[in-house]
Amino acid sequence: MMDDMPVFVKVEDYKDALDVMNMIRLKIEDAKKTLEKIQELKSEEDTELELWHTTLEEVERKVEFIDKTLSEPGSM
Amino acid sequence: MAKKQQKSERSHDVFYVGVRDPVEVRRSLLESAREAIHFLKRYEKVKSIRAEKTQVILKLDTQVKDLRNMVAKLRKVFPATKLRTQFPARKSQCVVCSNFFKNQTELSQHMKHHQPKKSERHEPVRNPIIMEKQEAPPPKKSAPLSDLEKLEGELADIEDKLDKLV
Repeated sequence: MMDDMPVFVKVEDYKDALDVMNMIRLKIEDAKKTLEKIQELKSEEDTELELWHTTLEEVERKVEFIDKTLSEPGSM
Repeated sequence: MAKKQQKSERSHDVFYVGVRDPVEVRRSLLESAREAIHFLKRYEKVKSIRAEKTQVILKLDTQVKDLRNMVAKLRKVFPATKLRTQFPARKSQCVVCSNFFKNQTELSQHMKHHQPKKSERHEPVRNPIIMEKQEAPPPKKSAPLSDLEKLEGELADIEDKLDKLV
């Protein structure tokens, strides 16, 4: 019964509603851009961490070589 | 006179251990030091990325709060009725293979198949130093650069020593 009833909104309110809707749409676009930026920064951070990992392995390899060389002293 | 004699006797007591491949050892040491500096430089970069990320997250938080306020405003504009619109049920769809699922739980279960396995590792970068040199723009002059500048100086010293080794 209620479903068939027409609903009327004051013209002023209707204009306000349209304005607010427009603002909401713009704000959603802004929020989407911000989220994209966060994702971008996150992947940048992940790349840096991956490089840390690689560097650490490289240093470990070098230190192992030094350790091995020092533990086997040279002979005359 | 006696002191001099004692000194020379003491110097005879000192023993030395030979180091095999001294040049290679020295090179490895210098390269390790260089890597450590690269490490610290990256730390500075990650620190700045994290700071920026925090700022952007705060911005997003404000935007979401604004959105909530706007929606509340919109609700006020409309008349208070008990009418409710039934939106068509949105089916959960996989963005990778476009399959439909009954609910979100099934979709999230399915999405686990698309996630890369943890055991899969990226190819290690063979020469990270070269990659580092390829970084295009020089860092902008700003407050945290003082630490970076120190690191750059130390790095230049090490590079110098390495060049002399060759």
